[in-house]
Amino acid sequence: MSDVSGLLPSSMVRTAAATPARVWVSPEHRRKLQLVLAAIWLLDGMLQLQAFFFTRAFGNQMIPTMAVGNPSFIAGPITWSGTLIAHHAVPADCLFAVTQVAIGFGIAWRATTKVALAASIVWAAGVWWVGEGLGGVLAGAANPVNGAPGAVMIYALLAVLLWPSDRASVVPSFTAARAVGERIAKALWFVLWATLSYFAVLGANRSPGGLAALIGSETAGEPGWIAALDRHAASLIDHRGLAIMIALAVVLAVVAVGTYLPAPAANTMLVVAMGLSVLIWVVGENFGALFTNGATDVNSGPLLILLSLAYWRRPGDRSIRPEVVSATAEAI
Amino acid sequence: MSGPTWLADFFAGVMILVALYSASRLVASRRWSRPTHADTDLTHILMGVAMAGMLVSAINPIPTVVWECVFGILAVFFTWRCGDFVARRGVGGRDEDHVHHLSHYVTHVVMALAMLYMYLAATPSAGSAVSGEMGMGGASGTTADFVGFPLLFLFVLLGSAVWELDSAGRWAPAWSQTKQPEVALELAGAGSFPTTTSENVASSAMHARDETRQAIRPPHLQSPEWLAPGLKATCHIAMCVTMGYMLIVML
Repeated sequence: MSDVSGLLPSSMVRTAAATPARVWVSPEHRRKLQLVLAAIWLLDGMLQLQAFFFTRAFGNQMIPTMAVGNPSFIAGPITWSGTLIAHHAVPADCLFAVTQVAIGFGIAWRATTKVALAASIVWAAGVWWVGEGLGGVLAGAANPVNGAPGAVMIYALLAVLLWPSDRASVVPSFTAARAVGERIAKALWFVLWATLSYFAVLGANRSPGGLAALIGSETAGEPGWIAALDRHAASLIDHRGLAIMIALAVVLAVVAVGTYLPAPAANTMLVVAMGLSVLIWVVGENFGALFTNGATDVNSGPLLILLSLAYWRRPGDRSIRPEVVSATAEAI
Repeated sequence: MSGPTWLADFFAGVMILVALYSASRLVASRRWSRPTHADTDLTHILMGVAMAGMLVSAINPIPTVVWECVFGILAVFFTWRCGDFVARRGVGGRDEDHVHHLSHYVTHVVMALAMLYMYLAATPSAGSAVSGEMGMGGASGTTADFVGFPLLFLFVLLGSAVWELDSAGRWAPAWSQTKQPEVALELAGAGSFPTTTSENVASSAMHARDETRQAIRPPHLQSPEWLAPGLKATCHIAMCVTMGYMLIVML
């Protein structure tokens, strides 16, 4: 491959002309999305290797905060898990890191994709409970601006929608419908985004100063430019929280309904969804707080973008036609 | 290094193994007249030694300033290779060599730049200025506000690791691939289906079968044999993961 002529003997170097080029089979759309999901899982596993998570503070301080405001039957296991993790900080964190790295590599390795996706659903459910306190849904603290209803639930949703199988006798117009069918896929999209819309105007989220206070409180531990961005954003929206959250709720609701529109309009709504996700990730989530040395995942922004890409209407794409899949598979 | 010592030791051990293996590849390819990616192997040796030294400062053999020069040169070299390749063959291209060359150059540019960043951003440990030893901590001083760079590097490296693993699976023995229709599906979707009638689909699928069998054939059955491509891919993945860990520690 590398013709570093003059550096090494020619026998050690293969040029492109020396061998016939092989056919490069580019991953199809769903596989590309799976690989992005795998990379995000891998990143999550690596984040778990930060020094903080090997200390008792992870179990004693971070986990118990997820129990606050939750019903006792939810809070109890969270507190118990926090204590257990604190007492066995190093092995527990190793387990978390290895599991997530294994899920990432498992999705990337074709032979284990299904097993890894299935494992990711189970793992995500556990983390949603213990690590995210059900995203604050039952505590009344869920806010789409900072990741509600819990980024990890979107991992599970993506695992279902990107499951490597195809429903027979159905011609889906987008990738997310290949495994579960269009009706279910659209319903899942609607429920997710409608829920986000509902959370936007829930309780304290619609108070005039609520949004500014939320964004202003996220500066701790962030680099100077992100903290400055937060401060400016908080200053800009101060006392305008109600209007902004109502507007956000309306946009989220339109995005939710957008999946039932014809392809061009649906894709327009997907662009809106992706733009909103970027805005939320940058301003509301501070890039998943990745720079604070305490982040366990990238938060919901990138996952919502990935989800939107899975719903992108591709009416001219023959690769998502199941009859082609089955006929080709049989021929092989 | 801010992080468990045993974890740094573990990653340093992996990097030393990668460096030793990459060195052995250069010797073996010459001895057995087998083609190898010489630039990659040389880069893996340098990066493996350098990263092991960053993780465990006691085994850092070379002063920091030398490493900075080395990785600066490597970054320029791979950038030049990338530009030269694009100028000669363009960005588009569907053959395996083309795609692999391009991703290979871009990834190694990023890896070299990531190494440079880590040397520039790492907090020197006490008494290390003369010996060149360094300790890794969070980015500080002038680099503290440029944490976007390691995040970008991180995304590229982890993406490359995942891509490499997927590619490795793609070239697995044919008998392990026959139940996975997606490879054929991709070929089928590449334009070989004029209509969607069942006859045409079946005919085209048969055609795709032959292409697929060729495409999924292991490299050693197709061309002059590459030297252990699977192990090389494993080294690349290990390097990406280790570098990713170091960047995360520095975030």
